[in-house]
Amino acid sequence: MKKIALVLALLIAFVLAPSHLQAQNTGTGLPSFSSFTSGGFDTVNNQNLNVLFSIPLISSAGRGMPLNLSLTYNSLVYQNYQNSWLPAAPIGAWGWFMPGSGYVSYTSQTTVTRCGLQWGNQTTYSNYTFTDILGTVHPVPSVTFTHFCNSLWSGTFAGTASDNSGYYLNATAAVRPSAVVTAPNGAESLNPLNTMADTNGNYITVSGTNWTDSVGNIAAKIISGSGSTQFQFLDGSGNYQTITLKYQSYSIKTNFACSGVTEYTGTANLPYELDIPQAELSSRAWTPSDASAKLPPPPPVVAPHPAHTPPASLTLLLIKPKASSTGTASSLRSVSHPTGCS
Amino acid sequence: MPSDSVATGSVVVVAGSLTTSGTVRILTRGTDQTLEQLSLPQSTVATIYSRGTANATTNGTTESLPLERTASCQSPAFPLPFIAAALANPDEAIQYVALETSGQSLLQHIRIWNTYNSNSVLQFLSDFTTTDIWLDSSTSLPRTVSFTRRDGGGASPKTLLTVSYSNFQKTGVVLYPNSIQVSINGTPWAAITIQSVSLNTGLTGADFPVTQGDN
Repeated sequence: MKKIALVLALLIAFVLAPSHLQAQNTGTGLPSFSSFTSGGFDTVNNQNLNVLFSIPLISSAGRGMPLNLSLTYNSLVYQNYQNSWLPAAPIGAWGWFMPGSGYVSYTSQTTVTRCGLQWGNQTTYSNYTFTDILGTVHPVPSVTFTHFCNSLWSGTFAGTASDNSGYYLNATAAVRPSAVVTAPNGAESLNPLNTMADTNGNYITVSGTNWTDSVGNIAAKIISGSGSTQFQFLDGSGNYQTITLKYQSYSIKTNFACSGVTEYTGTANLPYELDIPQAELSSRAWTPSDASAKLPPPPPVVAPHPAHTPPASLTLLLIKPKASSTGTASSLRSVSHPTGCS
Repeated sequence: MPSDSVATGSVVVVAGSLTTSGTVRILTRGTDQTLEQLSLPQSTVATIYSRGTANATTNGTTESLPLERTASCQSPAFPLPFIAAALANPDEAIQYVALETSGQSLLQHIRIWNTYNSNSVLQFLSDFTTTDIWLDSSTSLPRTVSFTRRDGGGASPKTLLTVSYSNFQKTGVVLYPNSIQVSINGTPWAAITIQSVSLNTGLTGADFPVTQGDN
């Protein structure tokens, strides 16, 4: 009898559970109510096998809003669109999220309608999502509106994310069809104005290459080049140190072998190396003189060999070139889709 | 320039691990009406373009396509009316890109797009009409046409379609490519072999039925 009651209770609990708990979440990043396995460096979404990792680049204290910039990668890159595998939005990023305040995505479709005595257009904007800095997609399906005859706007312009993450998206008239996003802590991300602000008026704003905080300090610079991106930050001496992310073109091709779905071939400009200045990594080596100090010795670090000069920088290889049969580096990468053909 | 054309043939479609064979029917009327129908064991798909509007029919179900998709819906299978339409349009922009090499051939690469200069309401569609054309430098025949197809703006995905022509055969006074290869995102998708071409058959607007949708 007790067993039947337990089964009934579970059944009722499942039926009454909010729909978002029952829904399958297949997104990137760290979606709400999902199950993850943390491997230390990376985190794996147990449902869709998306691998997420984030490399901290810059951390700078600020009034109210400290600036923390990271380089984030999500491995779930492809989507099935009209029976073809295509890179998911944002197209060209290939899962890499550069430091930023997230972004708003939407789709628009235009049809012909009657505008008074003439024919005109009506464009419907829908499928609004906010992608946060970790690549987590927060859908806001309630926001959908139409622009009639290039003059009248009608529909729902604001709403909260359906994943209960607390994000609030508002397609105000000033930025429409883009939108202002307010985080659960009250911080606002104004798109496309590239400014984040909290409820106390503190802000971080991006203008060109410079990231400026509330007191006017240029806390960071991000300088994009054709083959690399430089992340510059102020060290303790007031000098800018540079972290360099290097790119290289790779030929890529999917090999999902899903019936009826065309494979993707193309080239992608992918990050392959991150050069971090030694100044940021270094700590001092423990010496016997430290033993006499009152403070405990610093955490153990690898002391540089006395016969060698410490390297000026650390190179982190993000993609290891695969050796081909001819002995030269091959850039062809073949991947399999972790979640099958859906 | 024929007033209309009807071409039929066979098609082999390779999609993922599935390879199927079927038939193809390509209709054109003037420079602004086309119908392309693929009949395969698993489905019958037709795309009808008529003077700025388009429908897609899958297994008898017809869908009115948005303007963004319509902008790249005119069938390029018969390249003569496709290119003639662009040349006859005063709003069309034409850019010479470069003389390029493909295998043993020299190709003239040009790019065209509709500026909609005379219709400001439609100017937002300009980006959806960009088409690259490669002409054989010795014969001046089109070798490849490439364009991006999208269902809408914003984050809507982009599908790159590349259509390559070969084995041009004379039908009446025009040359019709009897071998047409279609690639999607660089992956070969369909191989069309034209088996018969008829010109000036008397097609009418009723052969290109396009509904405006619910609007």
